Amino acid sequence: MKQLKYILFSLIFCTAGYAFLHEEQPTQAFSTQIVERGAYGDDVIELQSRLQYIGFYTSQIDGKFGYNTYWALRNFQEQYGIPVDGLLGEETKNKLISVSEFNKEFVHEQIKKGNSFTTYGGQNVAKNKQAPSTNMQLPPKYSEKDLDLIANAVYGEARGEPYEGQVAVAAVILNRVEHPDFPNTISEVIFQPLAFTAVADGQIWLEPNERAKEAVLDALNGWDPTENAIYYFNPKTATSEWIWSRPQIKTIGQHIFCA
Amino acid sequence: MKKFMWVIVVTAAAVFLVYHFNVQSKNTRLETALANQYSNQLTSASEKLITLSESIDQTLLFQDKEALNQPLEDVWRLSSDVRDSISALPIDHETSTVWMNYLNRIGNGASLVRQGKIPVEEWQKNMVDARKNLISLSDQWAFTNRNAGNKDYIVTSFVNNKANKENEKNWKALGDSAKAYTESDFPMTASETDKQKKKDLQHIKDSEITVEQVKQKFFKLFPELADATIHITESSKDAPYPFYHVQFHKGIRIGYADFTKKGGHLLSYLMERPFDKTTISVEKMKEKASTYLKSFGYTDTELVEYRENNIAWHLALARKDPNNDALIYADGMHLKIAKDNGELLGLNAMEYIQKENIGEQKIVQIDYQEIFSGDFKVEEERLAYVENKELQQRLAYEILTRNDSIGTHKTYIDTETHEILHTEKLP
Repeated sequence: MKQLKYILFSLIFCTAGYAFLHEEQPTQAFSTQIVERGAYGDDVIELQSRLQYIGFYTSQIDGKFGYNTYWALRNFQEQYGIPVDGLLGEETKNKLISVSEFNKEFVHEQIKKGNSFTTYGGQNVAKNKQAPSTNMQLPPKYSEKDLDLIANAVYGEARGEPYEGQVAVAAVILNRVEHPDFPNTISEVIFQPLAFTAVADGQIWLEPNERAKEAVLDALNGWDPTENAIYYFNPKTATSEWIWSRPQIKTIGQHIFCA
Repeated sequence: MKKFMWVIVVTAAAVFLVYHFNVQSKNTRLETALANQYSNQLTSASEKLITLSESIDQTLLFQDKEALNQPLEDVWRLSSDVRDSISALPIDHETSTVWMNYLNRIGNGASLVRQGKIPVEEWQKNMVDARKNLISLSDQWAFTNRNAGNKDYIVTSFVNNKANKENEKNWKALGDSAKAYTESDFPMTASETDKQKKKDLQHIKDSEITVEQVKQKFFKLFPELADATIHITESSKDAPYPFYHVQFHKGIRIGYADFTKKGGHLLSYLMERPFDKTTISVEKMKEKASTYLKSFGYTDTELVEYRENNIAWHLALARKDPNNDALIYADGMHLKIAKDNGELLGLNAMEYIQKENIGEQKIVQIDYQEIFSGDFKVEEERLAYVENKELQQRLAYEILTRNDSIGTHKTYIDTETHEILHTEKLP
């Protein structure tokens, strides 16, 4: 009888322990930080998802706090009597959490898969693939396609160069787009016949690493270590005599940059 | 005799292998050349479609006839450009014809609206869908490096497709085709991206500083790099403006700073290091930015926008006119601040060094309702200096307008002439 009691007690203890350990996790909530326009990341994904859940946000859930998210947040604040400032502060977070739900697993899985999806009214609808989106926020005049294309060119041309040298190659491409002697679009500058070795030998098709993308991001944001160069060459491998006639500006890594 | 036969067989096999290898590598080179060519054409067409859709957006923004004139002309001209581009693409003839007709209709429509033969309202109603179609088509042709084997996709979809249909994998013909594409003149007039050229720093009048002075300046500006190993070189004698190039290395930190030789002004600074995954708050980042600006003496700037990215924030600043608080975008500056600890990773002051000469200009009151169509709500306004077509800095009303389906736009209107100087769509 005593043994039976022990067995019964153990069973109850185990069941309670199991239930405690497997207690449903609370709904994913925001971090403690104030989030505002220009931000990027998981807080913004949650904000967009929650706003979409209750019908305030209709654009793509991409984790980038742009104007669409900003206006949606302001509309939400206005409707719920919260001071309208477009900032995701504590009061706004609490109200948002109380009136919406966020299925973190579903949302992050769809983003990872690159699916087009909505969470309106709790109806998690995943559709076909959407246009791919980078995890980088660019100046308004550039697109993600620009970043991709230049990153491929930089990786193909200068992956062995120091970081400064990679930013420099990206800056030369951008300087050419603005220069009257060169084509006016990024793709035409890069694919201009005989302009870049990586295009001629197919290395432009190698997948760029994060370092090359970061270097391009800096160049798109205005950094130009070349001080306005429009040419560069490797003096050890250059076969053209003409390139030596160009006014030289500076040397970075293996490349001489010229005006 | 048997040995002789073996020699012949081995020689033949070797010759065959060499031949096969040659042909294979030649084919690969041709494949690459064609993939490059096709990718260029598809990407260019994609970019032009986006430019066209942005011009269409601008025709939806305004209701004032004069304000509408330029964007409508852009749509007419760009639709013609994109039509030419599509006709040169290696795509199915029927598909290209359909799209060319579609673009033709858009171009004609814009022209008719300009002539007053079609009401603006009707055009604006139709174009809401048209712009979506253009963006969707652009996405299909856009260059991307996230689909593994993009080159393979282009080769399979376009290069081989064309070869199989027309030339039965005749590589010679493919080579001729590549040559023809290379020689074709792809229209380049669609780019609307020509902006102000980087400023000419040749005319700085300050006196020159020495290598020792630039070294002192570097350590004064960046005290945390006090014990870094530095290497200073001068710009080449042919450089358009003389400067010092300071390369530094301290533990995990490596980077550079450029200073003008005349006056020792900091042109740019950039540093690379590994990063932690922690993130400081936005308020802390702004505090840090403010501290850096003060310590560098850039006290006349205002933060215009910031963008959070994987490892850093990129901040854009502009000088503020003390007389009217207008932003002078041409005197811009950029900061790069680490997300993990707020360290300054980069500073770009190339445009800030030479300040613009700003003249007096009248401010004539404006009625935005006459300019913008009713679907757009004016959310914010302030003053800013931007360049006009004659490259003069003009004082302008900077207007932020919002439309939930078309997007958010910033429009600059000359305060004196009410000319639309510039419009851009914000992400």
